[in-house]
Parts: sequence; structure tokens; C-alpha cells
Amino acid sequence: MGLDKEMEQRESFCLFCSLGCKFAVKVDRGAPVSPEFCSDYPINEGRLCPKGLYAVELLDHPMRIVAPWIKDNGKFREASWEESLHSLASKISEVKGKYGAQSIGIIIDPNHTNEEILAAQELARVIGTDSFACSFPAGDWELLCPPGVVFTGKIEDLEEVNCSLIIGDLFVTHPVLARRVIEAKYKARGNSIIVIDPKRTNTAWYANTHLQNRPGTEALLLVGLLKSILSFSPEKLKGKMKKLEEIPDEAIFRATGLSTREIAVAARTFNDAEKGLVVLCPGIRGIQDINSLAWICKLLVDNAKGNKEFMPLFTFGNAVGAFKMSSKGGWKSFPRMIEEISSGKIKLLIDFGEDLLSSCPSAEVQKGLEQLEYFAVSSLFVSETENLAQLILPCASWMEKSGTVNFFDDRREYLEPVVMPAWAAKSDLEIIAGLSRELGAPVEGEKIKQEAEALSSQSLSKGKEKLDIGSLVGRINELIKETAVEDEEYPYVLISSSATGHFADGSITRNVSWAKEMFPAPFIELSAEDAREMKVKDGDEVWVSSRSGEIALPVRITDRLRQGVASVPAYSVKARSIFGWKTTPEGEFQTAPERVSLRAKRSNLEETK
Amino acid sequence: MKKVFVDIDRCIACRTCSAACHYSHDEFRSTIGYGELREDVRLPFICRHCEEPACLAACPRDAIKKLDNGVIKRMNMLCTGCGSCAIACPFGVIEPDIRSYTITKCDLCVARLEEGKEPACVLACPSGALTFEETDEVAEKRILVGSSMSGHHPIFRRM
Repeated sequence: MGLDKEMEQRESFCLFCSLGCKFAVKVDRGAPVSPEFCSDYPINEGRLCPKGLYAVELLDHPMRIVAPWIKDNGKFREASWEESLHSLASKISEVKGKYGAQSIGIIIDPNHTNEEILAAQELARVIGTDSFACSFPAGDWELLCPPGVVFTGKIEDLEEVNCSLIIGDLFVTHPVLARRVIEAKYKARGNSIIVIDPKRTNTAWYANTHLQNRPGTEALLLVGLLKSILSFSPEKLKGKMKKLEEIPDEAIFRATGLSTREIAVAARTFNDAEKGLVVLCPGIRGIQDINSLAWICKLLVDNAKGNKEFMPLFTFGNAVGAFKMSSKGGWKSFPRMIEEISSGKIKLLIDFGEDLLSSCPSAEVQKGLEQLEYFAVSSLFVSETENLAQLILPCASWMEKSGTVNFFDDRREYLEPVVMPAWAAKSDLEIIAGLSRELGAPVEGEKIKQEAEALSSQSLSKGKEKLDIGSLVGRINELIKETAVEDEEYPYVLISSSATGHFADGSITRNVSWAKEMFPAPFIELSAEDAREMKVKDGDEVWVSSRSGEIALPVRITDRLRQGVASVPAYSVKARSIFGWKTTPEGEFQTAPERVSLRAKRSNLEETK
Repeated sequence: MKKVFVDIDRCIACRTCSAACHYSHDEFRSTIGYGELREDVRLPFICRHCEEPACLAACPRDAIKKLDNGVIKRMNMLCTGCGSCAIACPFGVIEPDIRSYTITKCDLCVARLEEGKEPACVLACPSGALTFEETDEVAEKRILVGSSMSGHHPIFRRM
């Protein structure tokens, strides 16, 4: 390196979180060489997190799928694109004739471009099925549903904020915001950061006030803050808002495990700050009732004095765009789709990029996928899910195709290909176009492009949705009741925590060499008190059992957690299989922390004797 | 001489510097390790490019050289991977595990410096904790590595 000065630099955006950081890749005669930094882009100023640096490796990873594979008699063999698309199309007509069009399902993950998500919907229409779902992870969908607020301020202004209220682990989920948040704190004496998180995370190191609540009570804690803030200016507490008084203060303190004083001081600090910011970070498991949380954050921002802003952040890069593309048209929600797959209603599944066994690792989903009559998946890497498929199609990553995406502040950016797709890979747009041609009703690229343009420039919420305080209070009271229940059988609360080097459930990033090296096998974090009680040392194995399953994990003793709370890494499929992937009545994912019981493995105990 | 400095008051332990190092060197290898001080304080261990380097003196094959611009660079082809430098380094920035018969040691991204760019870890650092500055300037600002750690990290400050 360094000898070849003629290397080209091509720019792209990172879709591994919703910030949309810009980066460049040095390209030598069409091959990616090393990452480069775009210091003039205002969102990230060239700064990246480990995920943003993976591009170079993902583009020519040796484990990428190189050609379409068809399963013949239980064994995969390489096939041509024509053959594989033809066999898929003929299977579609066969299943359609046998079970009806509704038995054909299409899943696409939200990290596709807007055009591809629209094209997949068009494909569903061509087939004639309603079973289309965009696979939003728990959290992203609920945050985007009404009130549907996105950050509207300027990112440069974050440095001027006097008080930031952070819910979740910001420096792990969106590390690139760290510089501005920390800068704002050090700018003047009195500036503060308040962090709400059951775990003392790296974000909490920088907090002036860390409200270490019991897991799953974030909504209650915020109601406590809201009530405190309203009590400073009683004139606001009238009309519908009076209903908030129905929520008993005592119950809030008991449920969250925090004192009145702690909440009052935090509320006072936030209210008095001239410029404030509420950041809601995605968490896979541990934050409960995310939609109400978004409403309460909005109320908090509206009712506090001074200049306050709300910034919801999402797991997926194109979460906002995917929501805009797929929220209309009466499609199914992802959890509903999972239910239909598990129950065997879906007979043929076309899956674009979603690793189902990684995003919802449960025995039911596994059984559902095995039952499928035909399963076609387009993916970057082969994993457990792909092994169950009859047809694997190599897809291009977002750095190998063009299209539009919408990031967290509803900013629309155009993706340009950095390099040509690796080997025989094709973008999903091309795959859909080819498949629809085989089906006899070609999806028109130009029409899709125009439609995507129109939809992605629409604003997210039209301001029609008014908050029904009555139902919010009802939900909060229910939450209080839920958290008050002591579970004798499963006394521990299990949350999941993410790592800076992994994206969402880790289905893509698990293949990356640096992440493999840095993040070892799954483990369970326990507080020192719990470990003492169970008589386990660092590294000993414990049985973790929940209503959905039982696994053995090595212990890591930490002082980041309170007694009675345990944490597993979100990027590990094995660890996540303890969580039950159940659906709430509203058709959303259960995001509440799981109740588990822990017991030491017998071999450890014998050792200690 | 310009060196990489760590402002421990801004480090969020995200390990981006390590990943940046990993991906901007030829064979995907990182020269930045992590130290842990209790559970709370993690900090990147970055080569100080000493004026009188102990690793250079310890190397039996003269595989570590001091370049004209002050950068202490290992010469891949000369190194036998004996690990003497890792033992000699007073800061423990050279990882003792030997990969493909070369020690992993920071070269301050000399190839990038020649192009007039800053080292990859500094540009990538998402929290602005790593800076690439003249030693004298930093001495004035008193954010020398190590000296500011005790008592100034947010954790210690609150205790």
C-alpha cells in the first residue's frame, strides 16, 4: 500500500444503524482495498464505529455466497440464474394452484433500498398474496408508529445542548453521536447527561445522574419525570392531562426501584436546562412498551420549559424509509408473519436478506421453516436459516447497488455502488425483476423509482394522530401491575445488551473477522451478589432457563448490574434463544425483559467442594 | 514529532481504533490492544514511539528501526517473532501473541502520513478521544497519556 497512488475513492453510506455515516472505500482496479474517511460530512465528520469499517471486508468476504444454489435430494448444487429463477417461478405457480395465493409469503429486511422494498410489494401483488412483511426488529416499528416523530433539528446543534436525557445505551448503539454528546457536557459547568438504563453501561460512565431502574420500567420512570415536571408548572396540568394524576406516585417508585428524590432531581435538571435533548436508543430486549415510551418522550419534550427536542434512533439504517414504503397497503406485521410461518399457514416463503433463525431463534420458527414446501432465500452469507432453504440466491450488499434510503432524521440519500457485485451476486431489485418476468408480469423499474421518490419525500406523521391520554394511563397502570408480580419460579430478570461491533442480531456481523476475534462465545453477566449466592465464580457455567428453553452459559461477574438482573449479549443466537419470541395482541414483538431462573451446573459445585 | 494521544475523559471503549487499525493495514491486523483497569476503565494501548525505545534495543535481529520522522517501525521480513520487544516494552503496547511470524506494532500509518493524512485510528475515533498532535502542544494542554487518568476519568471523579 502507499505505492499505488492511482487508487480511486468511492463513497457510500453505512446502513448498520440509522445515523447514516458516510465513508469511502479505496478501490484498486475494481477491488476494495481499505476504508477511507469523509471528514466533510456533517453527520459523522468522517468518524465511524467498528461497524462502519466492515465495508472493505463485506465486499469481498471469502464466505460470501458466490452463485445460486439449488437443493437436490438434500444436497446443494450450483445452478445458473436462469435455472434457479425458473424453478422458483414454477414452484410459485404450483403452490398457488395447490393452496391458493395466500400461502405464499414474502419477507424483506428493512436494510434494503426504498426501491427494493417497493418492488417486493409489487411482487406480492403480482403473485396475489397479502402475506408480505418488512422484518422490522422489535423496537423500530413501534417507534415509527404514531406519534412517528423523527429528529428535526440540526445535528451540529447537539454540541449546544445543556441537558441530554438518554434512554438506553447510546454509545454502543450509535457511537458516532458520542463526540457531540460528550462535548456538550464539557462545554460549560452545569451541563449534564442523565442516563436511564438498568445496566451501568459505557454511556452511564459519562452520566452525571444514572437512573438505574429495574429492567422494563423505562416508561414508568419517564411518567415519573413527566409528573415531576408538570408539578413545577401546575397550569399545564389541566384538561386531559389531569388524567395523569390517576397514576399513583408510590407505585412508580416501587416499580422502578428508585427514590422520589432521584427522580425529582433529574426532572428539575432536565426542566431547568435551556436546551434539552431526549434520546431514545433501540434495545432488543429490556425496554418495554416502546410505543408508549415514544408518546411519553413527546409529552416530556412538549411540556418542559425551554428548547427541548426528541431524537428517536433506530436499529436499521433504512428503518424510516422502509416504514414509509411498507406502512400503507394493508401488509402484515413481521411478528404476525412469523406466527403464520410457525403455524404452517405459509407454504412457500421468499426471504430477502432476513436471517429468521437469528432474529427470532425459537423452536417454533425452526419447525415452521422445516415444514415449508419451498423456501427461497437471498442472502450474503450461509447460516442455519439458509441451510433449511431449497434455493439460495447470492444478493448484493448495499455497497454494490444504487438506490435511495431514509435515515433517522428523514434525510434522503442516494446510494451509489462502490464496486460491482461480488461474483455472481445480483441486487434484490434485479432478482425481483427477473422473477416477475418469469411469472409473466414484469415489475417496471422506472415506475418503482418514481413511486419510491414520491413516498420517501412524504413526511412521516401528518399530525393527525392525537394522543389518547386515557389509554396511555391505562397502559401505564397495567405495566405497574405487571412489574409488581413476583415470579417465584423465575426470579431473575434477563435483558440483552448489544456490543459496538455487532449490528442488531449479528446475522451479518458475526461473519466479520474483527468481530469474531473481539466478541467471543456467549456468556451471562451477573452481579457479584447473585454469583455469591449461587456459589459460582467467573467462567463457571450456569443453567439459564425460561419458559421458552434452557441453555448453559458461562458466567461473567460484573458490577454493572443490580442484584436480580442478568444480561446476555444480543448478538449471540444461542443466548437469545432463551427469550420467548411471542407476539403482543397488537401484533408487535414482545420487548419486555424475560423472566428466568438460574442454577449452577453441578460440575462447578463439585469443584468448589 | 506528532503522536497519537488518548484523552481518557472522552474514551467510550468502543474499540473503533482497533477496528480501524485492523482494516487499514495490509493483512487485517490490529496493533491497538485494550487494557482494563477494574471493569470500568478501558483504554486503548497505543504505541508512544519513544525517543529511546526499549523494543529497538531488545530486538536481536534489528527488525525494529527508527525512521527519520521519528516513527518506530518494525520490518516485517526481518522479524522472527521471538517476542523480545513485547517483553521489553514498558507500556505493554506490543501484543505478545505472534501472528504469521511478525510482531504487531503500530507504525503510525506511515503510508497515510506520506499522503498527508492522519492515522486511521484518529480519523475513525467516534468520540474524539484520539488526537494526532505535536508532543509539545499536548504537554501544554496536559492531556498526556496516563497522567490524566487518575482522578479525571468520569468514574473516579464521582468517587
